[in-house]
Amino acid sequence: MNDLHTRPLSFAAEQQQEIDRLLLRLADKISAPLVLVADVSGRLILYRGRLSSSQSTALAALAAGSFAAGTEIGHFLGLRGKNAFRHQLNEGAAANLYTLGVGQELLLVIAFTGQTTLGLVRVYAEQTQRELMKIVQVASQQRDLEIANPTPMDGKDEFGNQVRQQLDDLFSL
Amino acid sequence: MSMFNNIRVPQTIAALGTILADLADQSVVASVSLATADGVAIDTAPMASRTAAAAGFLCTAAQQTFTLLGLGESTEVVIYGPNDLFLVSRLFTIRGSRLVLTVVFNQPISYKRLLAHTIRSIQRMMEQ
Repeated sequence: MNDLHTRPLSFAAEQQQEIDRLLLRLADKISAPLVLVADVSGRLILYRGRLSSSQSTALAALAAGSFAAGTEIGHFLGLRGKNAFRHQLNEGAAANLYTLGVGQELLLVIAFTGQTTLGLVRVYAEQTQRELMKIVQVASQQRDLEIANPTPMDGKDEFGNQVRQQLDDLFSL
Repeated sequence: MSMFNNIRVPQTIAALGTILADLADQSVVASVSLATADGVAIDTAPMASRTAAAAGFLCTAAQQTFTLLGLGESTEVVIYGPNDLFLVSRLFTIRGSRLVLTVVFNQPISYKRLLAHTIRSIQRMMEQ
């Protein structure tokens, strides 16, 4: 099973600060009312913008679902691996939503209006994507290390064992 | 939706507009456009999308030609037309992103220094 499902990427405080700085810079450069980073399963990692926390959480899930659908359409058309769809644009009269993959596990979602241009959004989004990839690579290596060297708590779920024992005792009566 | 109300024009667009206007104000320049190397407009000029698409097509065709001939990477395309009109599409990079500046000149001119100056200004502004 993919690491994403068993152990999603987690970011240290400094890494989160760096992601936040990158999102702020991106939002400033293109006057984006909302920028967010989520993982491909729809879990919100960080956001900056004019939505509430719960709205951003919902948007992250919806954007991830939409992106996954786009990726599947690509698969249906035989577009896999390096040829897979990695960008998605929802265009409207008032605003647009641009989503791009950051590696295999994260998404960068950007809302923008007609006050900026798609070309400018793409240039700054790609720069942010490259910077995010550096952070993702470090976090990914950290996760691999943790999987290779589990701490004593890993695999030793005291609470789970106690509940299991209690249930066994209950039903063995 | 309220989150899209009162969005200001990004300073980046305003600053790019000033740089490109400086170039467009030259008497030898008929038009100017900035786009991504694959042909998506960055500036907001009235014909920006069409010029960007043309520039993207030209740069892609030029690169394929150079690759076919084993000449490496192409960096500039020039097309000459009637009445001394000519178009230059110059590729350059900003933090790993490939952009193309397209300028149509209306008379013969040595344009290298002019383009280099504009590209340096764009790079300085966008790399901040």
